[in-house]
Amino acid sequence: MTQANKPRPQGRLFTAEGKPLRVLSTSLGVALLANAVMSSGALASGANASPGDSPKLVSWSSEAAKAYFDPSVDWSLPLPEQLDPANEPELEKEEGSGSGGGGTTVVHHYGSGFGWDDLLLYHLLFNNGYSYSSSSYYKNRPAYYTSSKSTYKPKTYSSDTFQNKQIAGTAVRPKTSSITGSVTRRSTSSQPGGIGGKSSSLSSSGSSSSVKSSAGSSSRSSGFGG
Amino acid sequence: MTGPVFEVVGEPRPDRSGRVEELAALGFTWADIEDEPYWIDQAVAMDAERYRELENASAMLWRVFDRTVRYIYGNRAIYELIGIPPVLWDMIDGSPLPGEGMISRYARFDFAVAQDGTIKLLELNADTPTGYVEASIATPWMCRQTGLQCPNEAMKDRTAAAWGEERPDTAACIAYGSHLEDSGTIEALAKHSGLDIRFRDCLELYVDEGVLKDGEGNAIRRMFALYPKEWMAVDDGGEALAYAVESGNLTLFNPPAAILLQSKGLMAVIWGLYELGQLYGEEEREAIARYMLPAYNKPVFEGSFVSKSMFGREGGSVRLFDAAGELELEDRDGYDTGVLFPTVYQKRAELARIQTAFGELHLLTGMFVINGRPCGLLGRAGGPITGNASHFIAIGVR
Repeated sequence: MTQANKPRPQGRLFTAEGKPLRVLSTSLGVALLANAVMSSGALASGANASPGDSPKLVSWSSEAAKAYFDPSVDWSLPLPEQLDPANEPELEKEEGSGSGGGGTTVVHHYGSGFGWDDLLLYHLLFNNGYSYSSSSYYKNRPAYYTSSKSTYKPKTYSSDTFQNKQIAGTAVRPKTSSITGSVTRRSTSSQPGGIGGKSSSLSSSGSSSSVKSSAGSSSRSSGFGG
Repeated sequence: MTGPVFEVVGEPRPDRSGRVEELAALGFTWADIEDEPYWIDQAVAMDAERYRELENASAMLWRVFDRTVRYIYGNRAIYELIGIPPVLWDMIDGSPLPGEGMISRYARFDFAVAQDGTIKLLELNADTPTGYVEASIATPWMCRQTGLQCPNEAMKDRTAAAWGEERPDTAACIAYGSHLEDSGTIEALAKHSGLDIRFRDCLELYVDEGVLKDGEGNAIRRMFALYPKEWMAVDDGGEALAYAVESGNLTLFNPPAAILLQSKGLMAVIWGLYELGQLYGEEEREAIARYMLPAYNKPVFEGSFVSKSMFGREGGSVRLFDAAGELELEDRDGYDTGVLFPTVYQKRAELARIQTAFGELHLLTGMFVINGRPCGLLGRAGGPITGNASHFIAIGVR
């Protein structure tokens, strides 16, 4: 391999001739790049940030929230134009739009202040950390129909009518067909011949002309090695 | 580098049938297969300096592969791209990754070593490699007769150490007893392990509510099986077998994550990360550049290349394309697993050609890695694609 073709280390997406890396025209290459970008932000920071400018928090919702900001964490998002400096359109940059380029990062805090984390907290409080169950939820929280004043009783389910998580070895009736059908969630047992039966016939059937493949008895060809 | 890397030594002895019987007594019962000679009664002498380089290359690449598996572990988008069947995902992610270098304790690299000494990795068989009897029993036997040094002598001890760690109670293969090669392979491994091992035919095994049982209904808790894990996606009992592992009732040797090493798609992952400048240090990058071939999951080459299924075995599914991108040669003997699994494309590398009693053949150089260390050479000689019809020839060092 000549020096010119040699891929460059550390986050370069182009060859020395300015062509995109070959691997980037494959799905696997794109997945690997996305993975690298998402897991560490290494690529984006490697390409743009110099060691001197650490991110700064410029707005916050409360003093308590401010304490959670850690400048050593990489907060910058890899935006498409960062990945390809040559094609960067001249965008009007709103102040603090989240680009990591200048070393300033804004952590926005939107709206009412009620978010997923609050929802999770409620879930933990009201469901005691277990997955939600309508019967146990209403056990200690009587509820009434406002018109009749009668007590609300949640509908009951069993694992053969409804499952909100996989339970090994159980079956659920499909909603879209008659009562005779069923869907087995997970097979936990098998019959003799179930391990290697189909595959051994496949791996020997491909041998078209070879004498060795005949019965699979003393042959190498239906073997399973590599 | 002066002379050629490989030189064929010795001439076939007149008494072939007597020698075939002698090998059978040692455990190598398929030296002749239905009157067709599989074993070549000659040996290949490999230049000692090149052997040391091959050993170092194997050790280095073993580290690279290990590191790469740790990097993609749990990433199901990558699993899908490298052809890992979804039925295995929970089993793989639910089993803890073994320590460094031990994701597979029984594996074999296959290299194209050219006569000029260029070493290029073709693939890694990390799940269920065969050729163990040829390498650990027949190769030392041939080397003693031809006066060559034999690094393979260490294989038995490495195997004993590996099995001592994994401690399987049962060893299994398909058609145990009638399939000579696979039966002989698990018997030799078990014998070298020094452990008391039961032998079973995979076809008699069944899973009973998550417990793997043999034909007599005895539970199997720890199993070495010459049964490629990707076939669990094809076989009816595959899902139940995965459940047996997930529920903790069964421990497999090699462990589930060995299939990540086994997928030829992993070579495309390694090459991709290398091109992107990710993950690897300088020493690893040098090893990749020097000993690996560009590999992608799409044919993006300018010159000649090879396509093969990510889980192809014994040459099945391999196709050679020339510099113009035209199909030049394909293997028609092995089963083409390309219909079941995605394809990987790799730049072509030339195999050394050697003059044997069977004419001029291409030599594929295998290197076993047992219990984390490279320790045994396996020579196979055949056409440009090393398939079912290839021969075994012992390689020693001089």
